[in-house]
Amino acid sequence: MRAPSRSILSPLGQLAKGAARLASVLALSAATWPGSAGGETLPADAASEIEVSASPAETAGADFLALGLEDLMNMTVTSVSRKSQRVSDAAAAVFVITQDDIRRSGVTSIAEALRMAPGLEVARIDANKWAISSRGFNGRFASKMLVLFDGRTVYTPLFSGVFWDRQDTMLEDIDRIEVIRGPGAALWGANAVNGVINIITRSSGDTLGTQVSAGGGTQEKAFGAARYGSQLGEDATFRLYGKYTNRNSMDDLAGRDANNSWTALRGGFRVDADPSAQNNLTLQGDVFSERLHETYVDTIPQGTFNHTTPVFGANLLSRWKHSFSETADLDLQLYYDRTDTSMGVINEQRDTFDIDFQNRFALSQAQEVVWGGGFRFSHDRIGSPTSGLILSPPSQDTNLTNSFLQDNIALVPDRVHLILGSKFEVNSYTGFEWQPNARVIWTPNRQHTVWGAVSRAVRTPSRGEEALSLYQPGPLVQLAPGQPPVQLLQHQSGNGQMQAEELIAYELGYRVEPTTTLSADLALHYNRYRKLSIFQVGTTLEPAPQFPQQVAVPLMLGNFGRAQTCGLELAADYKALTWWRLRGAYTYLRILATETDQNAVFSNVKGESPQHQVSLRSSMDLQHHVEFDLWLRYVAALEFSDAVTGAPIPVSSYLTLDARVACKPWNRVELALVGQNLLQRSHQEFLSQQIATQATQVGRSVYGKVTWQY
Amino acid sequence: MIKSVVAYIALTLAFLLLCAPLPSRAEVGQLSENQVKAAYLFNFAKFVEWPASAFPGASAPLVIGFIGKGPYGEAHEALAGRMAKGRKVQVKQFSRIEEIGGCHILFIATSERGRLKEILRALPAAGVLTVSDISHFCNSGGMIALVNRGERVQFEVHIGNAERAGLKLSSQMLKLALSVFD
Repeated sequence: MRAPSRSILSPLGQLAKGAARLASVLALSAATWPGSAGGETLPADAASEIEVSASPAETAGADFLALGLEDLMNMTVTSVSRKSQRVSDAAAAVFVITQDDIRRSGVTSIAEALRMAPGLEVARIDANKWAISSRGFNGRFASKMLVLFDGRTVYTPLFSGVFWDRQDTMLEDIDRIEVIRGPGAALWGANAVNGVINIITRSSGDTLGTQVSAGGGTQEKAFGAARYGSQLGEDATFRLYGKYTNRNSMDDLAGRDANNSWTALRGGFRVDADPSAQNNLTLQGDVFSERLHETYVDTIPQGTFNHTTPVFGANLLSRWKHSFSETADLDLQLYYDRTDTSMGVINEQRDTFDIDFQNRFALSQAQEVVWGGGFRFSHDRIGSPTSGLILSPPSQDTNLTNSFLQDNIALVPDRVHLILGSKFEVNSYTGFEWQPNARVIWTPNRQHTVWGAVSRAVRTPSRGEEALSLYQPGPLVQLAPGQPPVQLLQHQSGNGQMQAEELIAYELGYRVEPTTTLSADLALHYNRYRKLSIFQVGTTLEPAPQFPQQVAVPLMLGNFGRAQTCGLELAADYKALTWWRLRGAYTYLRILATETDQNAVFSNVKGESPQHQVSLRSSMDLQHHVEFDLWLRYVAALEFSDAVTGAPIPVSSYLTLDARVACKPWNRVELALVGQNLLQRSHQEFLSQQIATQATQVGRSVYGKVTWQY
Repeated sequence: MIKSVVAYIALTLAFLLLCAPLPSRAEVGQLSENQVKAAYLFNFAKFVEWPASAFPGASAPLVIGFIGKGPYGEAHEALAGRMAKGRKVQVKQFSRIEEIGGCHILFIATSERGRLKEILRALPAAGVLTVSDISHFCNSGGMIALVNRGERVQFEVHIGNAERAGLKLSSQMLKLALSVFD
């Protein structure tokens, strides 16, 4: 029995019964669908002592018995999880990054691993900052995606985004990362507008023994990690880990060191207990400390300055899963999360308490119901080291109450399912919000799956949007003829009357698996956004009380934007040979239209998302346990607008290649050599203008790693 | 950019030519999880030494028993009648604990997790190799655990539990095991 890590996929519609087809694709979450292996089960009573008659020894089908132990150890199988929901049964655009994918890609962070998923845009701003979004609207403070780490929300209410540098653990302990594009797919968690990312770590029962790894290179200056896992009494296991990373700075666009190196030290534990077959308990926690070097540019009043940001974080989570029967269970999860950071322009201390529960049961033969709810309380203290950026009040308590209900109705058992559901939430900023969705999935046979969905999703305002006051450099203007030009400021202010951003999304998907070695997954979407949060330019200049000599152009935040987007995501997986696997992903995104009310200004939404992205991965298992992996990526050009003048700032398209070679000279030791971004000396991936830090370029890099397991 | 793509393809092809894959693995297509598990059982039959008393006679069959629910029909068919250690392999499916007996390898399906202790207690003191994919099997008194690692099925062994049952595991097995418990 696997640990009860909750998969975001679990409450989704699927055709659980009859899923014993051991064909195809990656199997997902354990522990969620106990009934799913039912198809070929021998009835218990009928099975008493069958003697199977001897079959001719050398039939072709029995050849697999001739495989030796060593071959078996290295054999990839078509389906591993017994109690699982398959990707092909989900009525949503789902992609799973497995532990094997993470290891073989050579990535050194969760953010970088997300580049494998179609539909996501991952851009590195500098060594310690990333811009990651799904289906457009990317930015360092990209707000429309929910990220969960073992069920814990890591989306910060400060600006509705994710600090990616903080999201880490021993990468070897990650079981999988589930990525869902589009809204409504996750039943819990607010703000899952354009997507949900769920990072799920392995049960401590799957990480017994000791593992030590260490290495270093050009970008990854030095890193080391150790984990120890063992039995804890008869029914429980635990693990402890510690990890240190020291990363080098990336260069600015002129090739100079841009002061963004960073170090991180973290540790944690996880205990999993199965006191009885019906109960699973998990207790886990992490604590970390980071030092990020940052260069803020063009701030008011300090201008450009270097700063070292300390970040401290700690969390503790418990989860209890109780199975009443094969078709009914209850999940209860509680966590506490603390972060404490002093950035150059703002300080934040935040404590979050959260409780969630979920109950699943079969209402009838043809209907399965999942319902649940949760409550989150968040307390913060905000400090303003600079008069240019102020959030008021300095301390605030916010809470969020949510509930959901979903019914999965088998219209034609195992063929056509209708899934109806809605989330309901009450939050501190906008009050009551509801987010319904309807999904249909049709599985004519085991090779084909067609699904469609219509959903409404909302993103509720963040702390920053409510009460921001930010001064940035403004345009240089000549106020009167004959006088020298004056440097104006820009004053961005939040709005206490913000409403939630709204999305209506239409999705259509098709998955096909013509043979056991080939599968493809296509997802199409058309999104209509309303009430997008953007700035409106004031018509009269206002004095800046903090800066008496200067005047500012006021920018007031409001729900002034509308946009329409459409896109296509295609993923394919081809096991060309038993030792060679090829995977491809293509993402097309088009911003069809952007409109604004009342003089509001959109940033360059069209230009900030790449129209085309391609990823090709080749994984080979060569002789003598040598693994050889190549990963080619293409991202189309971007175009940003200068925050002051509106002038276009292009960022070129890039094509790059990562390569990894790993071997096992001894049975318990693995050596890996990884090259990243090999095709050119360096390339720029993004430009972050909101609370801007020095733009950088991602350079070619190499590292080596030794892993010892015993 | 085209140059880079060509370089990539050339590099890939060069590797293909240089490193011809192991033929034995190339011949077998994609296997299901249960096929791999059946192949493990067959290998264990070859790599484990039973005490002489475990077999009533020189021509007695080597019996592989299965207990619990699961889609093991294909494994039964593939294993039955094969030869291991000069003996014919016989397959038995059990559903009740009292029926277990006279087998040399017992595969315990995950459906039996709740009564694992009862099953292990019901076994004779010597001569039965226990194999299961129940989690923490080696720490629950079992001998060989089949564990899922990514997309692979691998195994862990508990030497102490095996030795107490008079079984000797080959050193090659121990070398390949993911973890060896004492």
